[in-house]
Amino acid sequence: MPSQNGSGEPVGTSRRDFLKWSALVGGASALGGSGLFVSCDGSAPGIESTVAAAGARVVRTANTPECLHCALLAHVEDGRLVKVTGDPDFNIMACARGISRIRQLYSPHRLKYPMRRAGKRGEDKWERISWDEALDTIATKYKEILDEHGNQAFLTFGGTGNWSTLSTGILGLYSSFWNRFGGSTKEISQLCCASVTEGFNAVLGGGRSEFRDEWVHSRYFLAWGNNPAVTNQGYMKNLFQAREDHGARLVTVDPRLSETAALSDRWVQIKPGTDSALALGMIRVLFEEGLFDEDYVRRFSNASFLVRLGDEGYDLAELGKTWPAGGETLPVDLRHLRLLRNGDSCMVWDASASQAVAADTPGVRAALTGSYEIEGARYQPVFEWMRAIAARYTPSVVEEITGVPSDAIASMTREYAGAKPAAIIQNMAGAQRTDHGTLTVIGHIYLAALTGNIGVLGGGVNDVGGYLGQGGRINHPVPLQKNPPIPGIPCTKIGEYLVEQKPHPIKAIHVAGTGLLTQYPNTKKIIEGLDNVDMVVVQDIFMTTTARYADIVLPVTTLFETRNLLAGARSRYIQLMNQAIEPLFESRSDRWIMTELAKRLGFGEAFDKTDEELLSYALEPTGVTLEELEKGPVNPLPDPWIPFVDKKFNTPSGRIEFFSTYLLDKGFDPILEYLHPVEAPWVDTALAEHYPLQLINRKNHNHVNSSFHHQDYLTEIWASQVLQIHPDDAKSRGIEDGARIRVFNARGAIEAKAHVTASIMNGVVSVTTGWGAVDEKQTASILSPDKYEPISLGHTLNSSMVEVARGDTA
Amino acid sequence: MSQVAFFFDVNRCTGCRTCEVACKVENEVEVGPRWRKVNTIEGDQGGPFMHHVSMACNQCETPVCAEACPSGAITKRPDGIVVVDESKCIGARLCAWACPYDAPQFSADTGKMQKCSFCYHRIDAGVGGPACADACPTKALQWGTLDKVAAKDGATIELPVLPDAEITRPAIRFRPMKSRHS
Repeated sequence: MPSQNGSGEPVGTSRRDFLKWSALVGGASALGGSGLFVSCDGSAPGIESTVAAAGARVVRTANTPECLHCALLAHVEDGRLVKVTGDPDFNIMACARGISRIRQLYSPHRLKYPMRRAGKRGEDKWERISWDEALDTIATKYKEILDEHGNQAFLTFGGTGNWSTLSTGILGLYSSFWNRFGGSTKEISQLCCASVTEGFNAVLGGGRSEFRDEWVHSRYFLAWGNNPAVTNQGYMKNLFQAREDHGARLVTVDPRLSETAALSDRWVQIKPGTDSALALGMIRVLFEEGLFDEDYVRRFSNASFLVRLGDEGYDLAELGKTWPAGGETLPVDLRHLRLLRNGDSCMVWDASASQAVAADTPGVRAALTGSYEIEGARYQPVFEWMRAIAARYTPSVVEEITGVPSDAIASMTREYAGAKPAAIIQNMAGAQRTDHGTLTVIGHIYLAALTGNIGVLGGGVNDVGGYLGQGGRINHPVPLQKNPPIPGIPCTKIGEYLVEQKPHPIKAIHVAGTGLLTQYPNTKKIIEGLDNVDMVVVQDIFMTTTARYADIVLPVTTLFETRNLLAGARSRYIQLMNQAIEPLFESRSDRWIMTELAKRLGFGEAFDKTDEELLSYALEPTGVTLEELEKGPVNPLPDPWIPFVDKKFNTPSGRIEFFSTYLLDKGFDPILEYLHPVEAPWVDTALAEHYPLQLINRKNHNHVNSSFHHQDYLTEIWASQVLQIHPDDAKSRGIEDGARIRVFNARGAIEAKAHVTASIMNGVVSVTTGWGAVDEKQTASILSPDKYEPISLGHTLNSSMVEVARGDTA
Repeated sequence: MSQVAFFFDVNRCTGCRTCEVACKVENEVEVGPRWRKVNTIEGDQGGPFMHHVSMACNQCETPVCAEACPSGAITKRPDGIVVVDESKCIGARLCAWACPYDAPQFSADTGKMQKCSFCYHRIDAGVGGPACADACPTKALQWGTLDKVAAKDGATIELPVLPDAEITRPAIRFRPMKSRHS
């Protein structure tokens, strides 16, 4: 404490008759009404500032993880990186993660040389070895395993840590390696976007839909179970512009007051896992109040297609009245619905001719409503079934299921339907990583399609398609060969399958840039399963939790130390990642490692090529050249971009399929009906006696999956795993804000700091997903369930139950 | 020369802390001192709310830090940027006591005070403005001359959570959170 007169009171300062800013911030909760709400006209900002690069040399590169793929400028002086900035000419500006990568490059915690395990797995005792010894050891062991057990004994992970073409990116070199190896056991489905993928497959015939640059045209945003202020922070400027330019409204559906919800005009707080019930409640309002786009629905969807239940049909008008309320099981099996077909044509009712005709009959005005006797069976248009199912989701029923106040449902539906173009921001939402996440996504698509928002500028369901997800193509840098099929392991069940040696024993696991032990659910079970594995190899930049369980770790370069390509899995842009400096220590690129291993395993020739050869071949289908990319990022897609602009869908009917033949063929209900989550306190009441709280995983601005936890400029701000808990739930457990707590269920326990806040729903708690790359005691995936979503086989980490108590795990 | 100033639009801040980190990267600030800090304010006003406010040295028109400094290490440039001359700083920390915004930061490494310099080295070199504002992905944080910043729509010098602006007359203007109903 500064003192010049010994009294502790500083001399010569102003009177301390003010409260410090920090004290005011700390006490803001207690101050109650002293928020920042002041009326303001909110006009657009006017000051433009320029960014110019300092430093002797500026090298273009790009941020690789599964985020926004921002263009980065690496400022280099005398062979040393001095600064990283966002590229002001790119469509979005890089965030704290990208520009603090300089602290990743020069982190004292980097893996510096290859090491062999010198203690037990996970004990973190190591012995330094040479690259030759490391690679020879791996190759020798892999050959042994291959001879004895075949390719299926290898389980391989190439994750999003370094998600680029010459590394583990989609269609990247790492997958070429394992293909040329002869194949390996792969995951079935995936942790991230399985349910959104299936939702799009079911109703729209696949594809992805991303229009973040076009948000400036949107008049309404419904951020649903998704937090774009964090996960799409670079694109939020477009949303803000739409608000400022034409008063677009932002509504957020989330169990917690997320960063997006906090900025919203309306926050709709919802019980985790009940989103499709809210969607059906909104759909009911669209039908009841005639707010749907009837012409659009008739022209572009199969809502008019005639269906019958079973062989005879069903008196929907009469019997539908007896159906139980939403959320209760229907007395009919929707999987027995059959489309009326004549040859290849689906049939609709032509009211003017009073007969069924082919849906594509020119000039036909197909009936959406009614019930029709055709050749002794009763048929209704799909629309009638949609309406009958949705009719049960009255406001009071939806409130009971979802917790959303009944009066909010009609008003938000009216707003949404009345503000075209309207965007539902889905973006691989946390809401689709639930027990019936595919139904959540189908609910979004139903709403967008019923209101005529699909295929219009600034409207639709916004996912994160990037270039590759929306029709773009690249080659694998090394062409693939044809291998015999190898049964896979469901991505959520790695632990169980390793322990039980299903569908076959795994003898080697090779991990590149993947948080196997910080992302994959029921993580303790995976660690247990490693006992059945002879060899675990991890290549990474840091000694991550996953790397600690390896037998051999290999130090990988950061993106500044190698040349690479980022071909837009999460951005529309294709970008060249130039090498800024020479590799530090003994680190080597993923590409070099796989090439050296390929040589030792006898298939090195295909990999032993120059960067130019590999990258040029990868780029061939894009029509973009390396020369163009040297000048900067290239967006090969039309601008502006309107997904499904031609209203042609890759479904069997070519239309939006409210009645999903895709789902019916897979054995699921072809029309959207809400199903309760499996792991939820009102469903599994026995489990709730032990673990009464619903756990949801959130994302913060400091990480992408398990990446970025080793950058001190970020850990300075985000220091530890934080559990958000409602004051009532905290009080009953004697937990105070800031207290050290443990969060646990039958799958394990983690440690966290408590943040007691009314911004999360009573009965729900939230942790940061992917935390634990440094301290495995904070790893949220330990708590995550390893069941899977039935349609997509995707991750259900947000349908999870836990208990929370004071104290540490130990 | 006109006084320079920051502009901060609460409606556009997602709390991403890119400004904080851009400052650190540009100025190579060690871990510990935080020249810029984003504070998250939570409370209840007919329901929970949350906002973020990004704050550094406000280059005040009345820099009480300079008045408090016993060694004359803090001065105000003609463009209003308040600078610390580390060669004169004796680490008394009186500036930190005086500043209502917690802007001056003590460095354990050097034993001296340091703070936001408004990246005057960038302005003087003509390569941009403060790194924080130049990096802001949503343009929630901007910079300009005070007269222009103050003339922006809705600009106000006061935010309810901040100390009385009359104490130092900070060269920052805010666009407060718009009232939002339902």
